Formats: sequence, C-alpha cells, structure tokens
Amino acid sequence: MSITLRSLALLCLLYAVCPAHALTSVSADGEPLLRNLERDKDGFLANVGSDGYLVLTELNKSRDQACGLLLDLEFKAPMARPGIFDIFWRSAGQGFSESRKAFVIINQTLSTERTRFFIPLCKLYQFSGNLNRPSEQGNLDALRIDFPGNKDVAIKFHAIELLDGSAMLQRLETMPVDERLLEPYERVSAGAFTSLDVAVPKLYFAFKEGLHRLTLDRIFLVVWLLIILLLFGLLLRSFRRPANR
Amino acid sequence: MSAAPTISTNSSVSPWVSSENFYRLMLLAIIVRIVLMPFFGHVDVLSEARRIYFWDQAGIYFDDISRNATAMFQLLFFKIFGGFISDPELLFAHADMQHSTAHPNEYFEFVSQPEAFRALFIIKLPFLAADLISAWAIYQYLGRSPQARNALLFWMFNPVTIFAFYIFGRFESIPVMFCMLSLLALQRRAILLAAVMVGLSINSREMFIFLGPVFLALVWSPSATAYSWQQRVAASAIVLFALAVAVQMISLTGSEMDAFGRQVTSIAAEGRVDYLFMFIVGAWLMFPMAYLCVLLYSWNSRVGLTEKALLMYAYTLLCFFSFSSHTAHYTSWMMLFPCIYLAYRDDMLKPMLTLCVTWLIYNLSITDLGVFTLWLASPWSISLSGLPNFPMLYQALGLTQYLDLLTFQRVCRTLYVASLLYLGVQMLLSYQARKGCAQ
Repeated sequence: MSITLRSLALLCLLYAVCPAHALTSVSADGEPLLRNLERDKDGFLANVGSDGYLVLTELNKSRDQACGLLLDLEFKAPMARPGIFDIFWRSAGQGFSESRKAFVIINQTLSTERTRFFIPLCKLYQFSGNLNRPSEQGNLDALRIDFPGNKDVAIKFHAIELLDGSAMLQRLETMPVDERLLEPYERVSAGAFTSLDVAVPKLYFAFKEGLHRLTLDRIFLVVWLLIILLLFGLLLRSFRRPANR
Repeated sequence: MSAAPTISTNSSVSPWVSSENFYRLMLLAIIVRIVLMPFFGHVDVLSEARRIYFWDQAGIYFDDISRNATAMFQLLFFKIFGGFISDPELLFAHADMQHSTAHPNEYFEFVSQPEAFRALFIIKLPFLAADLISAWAIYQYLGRSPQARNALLFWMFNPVTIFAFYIFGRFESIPVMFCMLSLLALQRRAILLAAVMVGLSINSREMFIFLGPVFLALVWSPSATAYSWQQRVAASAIVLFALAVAVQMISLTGSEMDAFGRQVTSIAAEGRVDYLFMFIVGAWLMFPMAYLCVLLYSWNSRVGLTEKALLMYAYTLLCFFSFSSHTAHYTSWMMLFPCIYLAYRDDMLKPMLTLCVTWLIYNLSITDLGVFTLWLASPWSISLSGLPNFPMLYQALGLTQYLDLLTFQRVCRTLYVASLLYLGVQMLLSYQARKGCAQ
C-alpha cells in the first residue's frame, strides 16, 4: 500500500510543533493478559523473576482505529533511572517479532506522579515499512507492552486506550498539558528507508530531536558554544594579521 | 633530549600551507573535534565510563587489567573534569561491575538523559588531549619543518582517527600517543624514556603488545650500539616488565581478582588473539610469518635506529591490519606512520587518501550493529539507531543482482588491504631513500 494523504498528514503533524489537544478514544477490549507480572493488592503490576509483559488481545481494530495508544500510568515508587518499554504489535495469525517492535523511554522524572502517556502507533506502522506489504495491512489483533528489563518497577495501569486516526489528529492539535507524548523508537526496514517518503521525515525528525535535546542542558550548551566561538574568534583574528610566510 | 634533527625529504611544501594557513587549519581541526565530541559514541563508551567512575569512586589507581595506562590517563581527566557532571551516579553507576559492559538498552537510558552531551564531551577530553599530544609529537619528530605541516594536517583531518576518537569514541588515541612519544624519544636518543612509552602503549591497548618484542629486537640490534649495555639492559627490563604485566605474569596488585571481582586473565585469552592465527595461505600463518620477518629485520639490520624503529613499528601494525580481522576504529593505530612518511614523500598523499576511502567503503560493507552506522549518533537522536545499515540497504536496493553482498565485501576488503600494502611499499621506498641519504 502506498502512503496515503491521511497517513502523511498524521506524520507531518507528528513532526510539527503541536500544541493543544482533544479527541475521542477507542478502548482496548477486555483485560490484558499478564506474563511474568504480579498484581499486588493496590493493583500495581511488578516483574516476577524474568521480564514481565502484558498483552492486549483480540483487538480487531483497523490500523486507522489503532493509530495511537494512551497509557495512564502510576508508578508505585519513582524509577531511579529511565525505563525502556518495548511495544510489539501484530495482525491475526502473526507472532510478535523484532520487525514489529518499538520502544519508548519513560524518564525517571516522569515516574514521580500519575501521568497520561500518548504513543503514536501509526508512526511505527509507517516507518517499519510493513504497511507496504499486504500481509501487514490486516487489522491489529494484539499489542504487547514489555516492562523495563532488570528493573524493580511496579506500575498501575489506570487506563489503556487505543485512539483512532481522527482522534489522534485532534489530540495532536490540542495536546493536553497533563499528557506526555512518548516518542517511539522503531527499527526502520531497509526497504522502507529506500523510499524518500520514509527517509526524509525520519532524518528530519532525528535532526530536530537533536536540536531540541541540545537545549535541555543549557549550561553545557553555553560553555560548548563559547569554546567554539573562542576558536572561531582566533580563526577570524588570524585573517586580520599581516601575512608572514 | 637533544635538539630536533633536521629532516631530509623528497617532499615539497605547497605555498598554500603557509604558517598562517597552517595555524588556521589547526584551529579548524580542533573546532571539528569540539563539535563532534558530544553527539556520538559507541555503547562501549558507556562501558568504559562506568569503569572509570567505579575506580574514581573506589579510589583505585591500579587494577589488574591489561589497559592500566589507558585507565589511569582517563581517570586523571575524570578527577579533574568529572565534577562538572551534576549526577554522575545516575549516568555511570552500575550495580554489577562484573558485567560492566553496557547493554544497548542501558546505553539508550544513558543518552536519553539531559546531561548526556555534557558527559560525552567530558569523557572524550582525554582522547582529545592524547590526540593533540600526538600531533605535537609528530611536529617535533619532523623537526617542526615546513614538511611537518603536511603530516600534521593529514593527522588532524584524516577521517580514520576522527572517527575512532570522536565518533566511535574509544580511547585509541591514548596508546597511539604513547607509541608516538616512544618514537620521538628514540629519535632524541632517550632510550629509557622510549622504553617507558612503549611499555605504556602496551599497557594501554592489548594489541600493542607486538611493539614490545620489536622494541627489544631494536635495542639489541647493531643499530643501538651507541647505547651502553647498561642502558640497553634497563630499557629491555622496562619493556619486559610491561609485557609481563600485560600477559599477567606479574600482578600489580597481587590479587587474582580485579577490582570488579572478575578473575584476572591474560590478554592471551582475549578473543581477538584467535584472529591472528586464522589468516592462512596454504600452510602459512600469515601474521606470525610477517611479524617474524619484522622482528628479524629489527634485530639484524645495521640501519639507524630512529629510521628503523619508525618503519618496524609501522610494519608491525600493517601486518596486523593486513592479516587479521579488526573493527573500523582499530585502523587509527597506524595512521601515525603514513602521516610521518607524508612529510618525507609527496607521493604518499594519494595512497593515504586511497586508504581512507577504502577503509570507509570496507567498513561500510561489513558493518554490524553500532560499529559503522548511524547507530553511533544515538546521543543526538535515538531514532538514528533504528536506521538500516549499509549491507541492508545494499540488499534492499537490489544491488545484489549485480554483485552479491559477500563478494562485494571481499572486493572492499581486498581494496583496503591493497591500499595498506601499497602504503607499506611506499614507506619502504622512502626508508630506502632516506637510508641512502643517511649513509
């Protein structure tokens, strides 16, 4: 399937600086299946032995209906370090695999209070290149969320919602201040990356992300720029000196 | 040390490389380094930083590891500049130091922190210092001559060392610095200092161990008869001590465990040692055979020690790169030598540029996760870690219909080794010419 105007519009919105908020949502049906997770009396899920994960099954949502994922999370205790959550998706008849996987990072500072996290799943379908294969265009059957490996975390899932395309568009336009956009990082298939429709937005986003990250440590940014400016100053000054061969 | 000798060369100096332009280009080279430092790094950068942080916190200065000199050099810088990182515990502390090698997920945690750029910049300061000290030593070695500018400019702008030190972000500049300083000391007839520098290079990087026997052969060759036997014995003892430490015949701490609680093992147990014996033509083990030739010539020839040491050091590493498997950043170990020879001969430039290009293509063709891909730019954006590497794109673009990937990789490897060997021939020709001048 080629890229639709709709999916391009969604991508453009993802990479634009989006304020604001609002949307409708599609909830995942039923209770998630838990693997290697234990629920305590307060409803917090924690790893048991190995790395735990939960699976939302029998979703039967079209890719457009499952365009975004909203997680309302509460951590029992703040994480000491960032936590990496793997997200897998699959259609009916498929298994979970590395080619349909992404991860998000929740910073430790965001684990101090209950937070609503928003993950744009459409982007994953797009960049992993799977939408170009007919076998990957089927309805979303299941979604799996892995807990951070080797971490002692206990999380209460207050809500897990799937958002459709129009809902996601509305949300991106009016993102609520109490919600956090979690950038998913996925493996881009080589086939998809040979298309400019994928390569350009991907590289552009990476470029923008780095520029944004530079501003997070302003003291370093100032010192680093001062060093560079000092060296450039010396360089320019050398042009003002009379030549001495 | 005596004054720097003048050099006789067949190399001309472009009028474009005036002292003013040279100064400007050097500034530009430093700016390039400063710009790159915060934004790139291999996972091993975090692994190494964890160890340095651990030693720093535990007040350990000597450990039973094969890279003690590298560790100490980095530790010195961390003690000076580590205070500028506001929460090093968050970035570097690791609960299980027996397994201090970082996992990609741990690296992503590290680079997702707001202070990751600052941390990477500080971690790489010792690499910058060693790089610049090497540059200074090259300039001194070449007698601060106009031709030395050519050599130094190539050193400062060659993509191999820039990649290894600032993009891959490993400590390769430290053993290279000690290696260059040992050459400079030999040139200045300070044989004991040269021995110490060789010893430090051996204890900076495992594979520099091959310089040890070469140095011993040089010291006991007819070229070194100007030194008293006491000096030769002392120099040999220093290098033998470094070798013994490297292969764990001597323990610096007397313990069977290192500070991380791991069993101390000899570098002979290091996985890459196997590669040295895997390149076989017929029944010949190519690296041992070539290395033995280097040792024999080092020991037997009567040619001046300075010239011979330069060529034999170069050939030792050239043998390693030609006849064993190695990753992209290792090539930085030998970039000193063509740079120095560039000051002697103009016609070194094209082979050196060819080496850089073939090195790039070869490593692109064989790359795996994180070694020669945009993965290394994860600190700038983790999104880049998920992009396909060159072999994946080669297949996706359907280029395999013209040349299958394995053959393409072999062609690239052949071109790379051919460049190395051609450089070796050029160095030999230069050596012969200079030997003639000297006689």
